[in-house]
Amino acid sequence: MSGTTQTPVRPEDPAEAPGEGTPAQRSFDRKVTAVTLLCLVALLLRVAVYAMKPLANADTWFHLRIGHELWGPWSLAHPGTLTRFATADWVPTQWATEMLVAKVEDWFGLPGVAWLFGAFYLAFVLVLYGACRRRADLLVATMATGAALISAAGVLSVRPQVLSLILFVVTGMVWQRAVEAGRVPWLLVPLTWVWACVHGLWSAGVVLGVVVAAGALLDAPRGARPWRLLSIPLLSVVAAAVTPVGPRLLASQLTVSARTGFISEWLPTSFRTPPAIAFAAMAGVLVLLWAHRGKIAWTPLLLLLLACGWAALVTRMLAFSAVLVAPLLAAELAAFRNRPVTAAQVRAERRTVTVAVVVLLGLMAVAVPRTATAPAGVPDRFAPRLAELPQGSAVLVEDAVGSWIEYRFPGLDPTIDGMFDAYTLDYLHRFQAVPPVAAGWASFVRQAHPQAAVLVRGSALEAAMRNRLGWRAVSRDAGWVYLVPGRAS
Amino acid sequence: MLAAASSTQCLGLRDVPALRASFTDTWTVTVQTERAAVAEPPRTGDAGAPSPVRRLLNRSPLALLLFLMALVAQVGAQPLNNGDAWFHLRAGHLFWGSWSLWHPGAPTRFATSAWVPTQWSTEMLTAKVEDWFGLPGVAFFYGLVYLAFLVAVYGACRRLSGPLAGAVATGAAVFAASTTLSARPQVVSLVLIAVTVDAWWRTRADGRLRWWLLPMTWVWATAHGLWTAGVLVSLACWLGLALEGRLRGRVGRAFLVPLGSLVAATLTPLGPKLLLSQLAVSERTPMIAEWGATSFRTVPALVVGVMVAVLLVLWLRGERVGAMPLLLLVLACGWAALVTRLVAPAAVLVAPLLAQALTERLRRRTRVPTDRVERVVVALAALACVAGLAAAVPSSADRAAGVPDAFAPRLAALPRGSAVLVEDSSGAWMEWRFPGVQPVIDGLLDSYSVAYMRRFDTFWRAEPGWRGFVADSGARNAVMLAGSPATTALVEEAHWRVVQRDAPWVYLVAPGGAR
Repeated sequence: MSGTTQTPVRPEDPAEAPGEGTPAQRSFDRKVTAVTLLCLVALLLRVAVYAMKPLANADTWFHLRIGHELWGPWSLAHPGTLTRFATADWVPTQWATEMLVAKVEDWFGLPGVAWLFGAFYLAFVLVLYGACRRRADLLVATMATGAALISAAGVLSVRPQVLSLILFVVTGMVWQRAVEAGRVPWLLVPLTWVWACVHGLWSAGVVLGVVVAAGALLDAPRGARPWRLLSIPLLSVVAAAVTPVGPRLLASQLTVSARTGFISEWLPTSFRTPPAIAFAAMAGVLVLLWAHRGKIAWTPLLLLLLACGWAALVTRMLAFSAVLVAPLLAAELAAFRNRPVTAAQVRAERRTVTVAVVVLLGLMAVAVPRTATAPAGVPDRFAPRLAELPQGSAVLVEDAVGSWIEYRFPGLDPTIDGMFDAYTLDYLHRFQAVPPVAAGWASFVRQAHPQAAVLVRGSALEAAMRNRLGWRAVSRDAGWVYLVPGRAS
Repeated sequence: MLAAASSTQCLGLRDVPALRASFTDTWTVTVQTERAAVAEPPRTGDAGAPSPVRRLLNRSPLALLLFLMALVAQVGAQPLNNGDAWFHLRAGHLFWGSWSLWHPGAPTRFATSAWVPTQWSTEMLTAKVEDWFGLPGVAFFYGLVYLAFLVAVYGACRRLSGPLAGAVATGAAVFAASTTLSARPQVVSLVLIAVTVDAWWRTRADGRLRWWLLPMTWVWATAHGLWTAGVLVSLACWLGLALEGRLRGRVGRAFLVPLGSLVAATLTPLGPKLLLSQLAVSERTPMIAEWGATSFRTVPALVVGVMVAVLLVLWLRGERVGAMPLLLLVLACGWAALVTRLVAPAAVLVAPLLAQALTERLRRRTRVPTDRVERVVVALAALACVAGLAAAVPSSADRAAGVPDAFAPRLAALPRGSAVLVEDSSGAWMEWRFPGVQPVIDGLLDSYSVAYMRRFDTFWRAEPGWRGFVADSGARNAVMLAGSPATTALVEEAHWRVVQRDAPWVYLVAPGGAR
């Protein structure tokens, strides 16, 4: 974006920047390039290895179940409920991804899902690297990408939000090119339409558009202000309102905001976690470099403020903040490494990255049928008992294990899952008393009338169910315990 | 003037006329700033006598400052309501009595860990004030400290800025510190952080080292445990000045200020073991909410966030920024992001930076009131606030607030040494009000072993093992929060009875009655 492309390095025009310096210097640069390429490939390999692990994110299961239901009896206009306790009207905000993933599961099972998301992770790293590489040389771009990945690591899971991250980086790149070229990025309007089908954080792209357009207006001289840029975020909102879900999609943002207090990833960020520390370090270095330079353009400045605001206020937005700051940091650091590259170097770099990605996709395809066939982090040992429960049985749960129960045993009704949009606020408030066993927990349990409970082992609720309501523990698996009502109760 | 301007350009002082010349105190700066502002050619519409609107605008900074003073005085006139105030008073009384600084006793029999008194002088002073004037006297004392805090922050801002920017930045800092302004020794630290940072700004301007920071740190180390913040500020400023080239040939000598401050802290009556007390705090930080990570959705943190954001815009849109301001900002951001309790100190560091940056922005639009008017008005306002405070506290702060006072007769009737289950800071009030009663916890967590605090945590969360904690405590009475997990467990599982309510607390007795 204007004012941020300070580096004289122009890798996209290698012919204009032939190799310079003494032979020793060139030799040293070649070695640095080789080592950096190795680091970049190692980064991609690390991401691929991570993707080969069994699916372990609790939310994955309700996304898969929703996807299957949307291929079946549910409609986008009137989706059903995953459990009888979820009685609120809700709007599917990520239906396209959920349906895609459910179909992939039908075809290839859980390994197919793991592979698909592995491909998404690699795509994310590549677009992020591309955004940084546009403004800096190989070394700096790799460093910035690595730093941003530390902040975004927590978001890389089998959930549609990974696609939001990719589309967010792409949106940033499209804006940058458009502002530099003095064009209006109309492409972002249909892109937002797609994004609005894929995941609910399409609004982040609209906010990004507002900020970039405002920055571009402030940076432009009077009389030549590109007011037309403001039409893009406006049209993007219109595009989001005309998906198959309709204008209700806009209102779904309010539903989420009413429930943020119940969802840990929507809570304010703790800056004592590694992802937050990594982001703070990136932003801190950027501020120090900018303060040393002075006279920073409005656009990058507003982008930094947006990133800091998001990072400070919402844990989930930390990853978005990091990918926003990474290219800015890369551009600034590039000023310290004015290393023109040759066309041959660029070709070699592209070849290496392409080959690495293709090899890693193949490697994942070979590995996942062995490594990702079974889910992880779920109480699988309870499956026979849960399968024996009558259809429509309520199961008392206190954590996200309810999502897995819904996915594995569609006939059961866990008392909670991760799909909080589908629960009324009143229900969520009442449920809040259950895990800490505060006043009102017993009446909640009585009203839910569960036939079984899958609780966190050693939790206050487990103790209360046993000691106060006379339930018995009949099985244990990893961090959970399976309880059934005692004779007296 | 041109030469001076260019030499200061990279130091962030370029547009503050007063700082281009030598000066020795706040008021000289004021005069020079005002002269510079007044000497500017009048803008269109400024010719002739100032309009009533303009006159009003000229006085607006003082009005804002007076409003802030009144607000702070009003906070000071409130009844004491911070849970920790009570154990500080109790500790102060015991230091005047049976406790020694080297071997302080235990506030309750459950507090079995050896601990180091880190704020004994403030505790003893406030205990003596209570002896003489009762709780109104304590409220008055802390009201004075709050006003001193406001004046210290305004003084630090004013040294670098005009009155409007100074008042705005001070107001922001006071809001950011609003939850910290309570009857606890930590407000003394807030004042001294403002004094320390102001001292280094003066050093930056005139090159003279403020050696009086050493004895001040000695006093600080007896008054409150956050004296380390002063040492860190000194270290950051020393490094910043060294990087700016302001300490040519004196880098080593200037380093003696932070180093000497650290040494001074080891020379209090407690000796070097005061340093170890910092480790005791860090061991317990996960169990203390105000030492937890900051949430930027709270008003104080949000205010600091906005202050930093505005500062960044003003700085980064301008010329280069000097190393000392930058390091102070980094320190402030680190504090604000990592520790809830350090949000207020962070605001104190940011306020002068913000005031200076705002002044550069407002310089051409604001006429400042005369130096004499400002001094007189501020002094009179402070005196009026002090007098108002003295008049108000005997009726407004003569009793404790936010405590389960309705349970006093029951607690008074308990035999000496009776253990009482509590889950919040009401334990500290109990210790102060009924020294013979033994609550299972209070806010002086340094004096509890980490193992005990983990067991207390189990009780408080009603997790498996909580009944063992209750049994070991020997308590037959409890003052608990209504509806909490522990209260629910006591009633539903251990069959304790609620015998009285004083929202949000309930008084419970064990089956078979209290003993």
